[in-house]
Amino acid sequence: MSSRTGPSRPEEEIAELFGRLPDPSAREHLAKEFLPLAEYFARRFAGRGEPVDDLTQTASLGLLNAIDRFDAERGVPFSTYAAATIVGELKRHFRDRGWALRVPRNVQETAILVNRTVSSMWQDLGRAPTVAEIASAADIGEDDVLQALDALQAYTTDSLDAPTGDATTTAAETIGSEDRSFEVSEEWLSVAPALRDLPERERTILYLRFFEGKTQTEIADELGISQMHVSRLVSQSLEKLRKGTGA
Amino acid sequence: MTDLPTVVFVEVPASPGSVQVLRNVLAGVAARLDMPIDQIEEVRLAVTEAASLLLDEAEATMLRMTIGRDAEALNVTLSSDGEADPWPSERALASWPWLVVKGLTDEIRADRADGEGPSIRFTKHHERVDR
Repeated sequence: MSSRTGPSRPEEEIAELFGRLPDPSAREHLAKEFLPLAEYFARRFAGRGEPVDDLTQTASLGLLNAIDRFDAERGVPFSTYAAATIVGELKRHFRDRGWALRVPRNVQETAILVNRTVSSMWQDLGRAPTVAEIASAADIGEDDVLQALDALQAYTTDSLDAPTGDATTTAAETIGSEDRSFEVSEEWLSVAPALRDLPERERTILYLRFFEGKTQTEIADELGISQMHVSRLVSQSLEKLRKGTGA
Repeated sequence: MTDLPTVVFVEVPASPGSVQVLRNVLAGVAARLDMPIDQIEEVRLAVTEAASLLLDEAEATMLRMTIGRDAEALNVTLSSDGEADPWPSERALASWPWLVVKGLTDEIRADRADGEGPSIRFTKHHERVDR
């Protein structure tokens, strides 16, 4: 071993393993080979209130992502690329900390896999995939896909959608002041007060979805975010409103 | 998918916790009909909002969900054994949950289950994935 975290196999062998991807056994060998790297970064992030086991898990996911996405043609050594991906994953873990529900770890892993599969399929197909399609692409059961989708909806993205800061602005004012030629409907004005506490982007999405009748895909295009994200934000904001009104 | 019955019927205690059961049953049926996942999510949201509206409108002990389907659409009827009079109230029709269900589905109707408890029926057409 050339360093504490470096691979024990010679470089040619590593390159050969990458060449065999997406072969599952090559992937597993690579994961084992670079696991010390993941553990190393997990330890570096320890002591911030998160159990080391969780951090190691997160770092390992980052490693798997790195293995799946690594492109040797770019001329960056894998360990450099993996380190960046692992640290990114750990940072995200802290930022997004906490699933709204306690999601078992294996479901989290499946959820990450499903999330990735959905994003790429949505793009390829130009529409949302079906559960059967996702299951066959990700090579997992349909029930697992459903469970993962459920978990993904619970996954909090609040950190990406911080409130606008001006708590006194009403939903109607915000919508009205945006540079859109909105015909603000009476219906919207009647529910707007209830939406006051939502982050601006969620209000905008609800407006587009329920008052302009736009589809999730249209909203995603308009706001420049993914369809999954739109879907998640719609679920989340409805959830918040339900809690807020006590209904 | 051919092994799916034409009608699925579920009855759960009228509590916010069991709404999750209704969501999951509906999502399962929608998945087996090969509805794309964005539409599955929309019917899940619709049934959640419909349930919260019913529970808000009248105290109840049971929630019933009937899912019927044909080649074009999923028909969901959600009812409670609560006493809501009048039903639908003006308040219900102007409520946010009602607007949301309306926005998420193709048809919505407030009704009474067998002339008794309040019910909400909605229809979601499924876009065939092979269109």
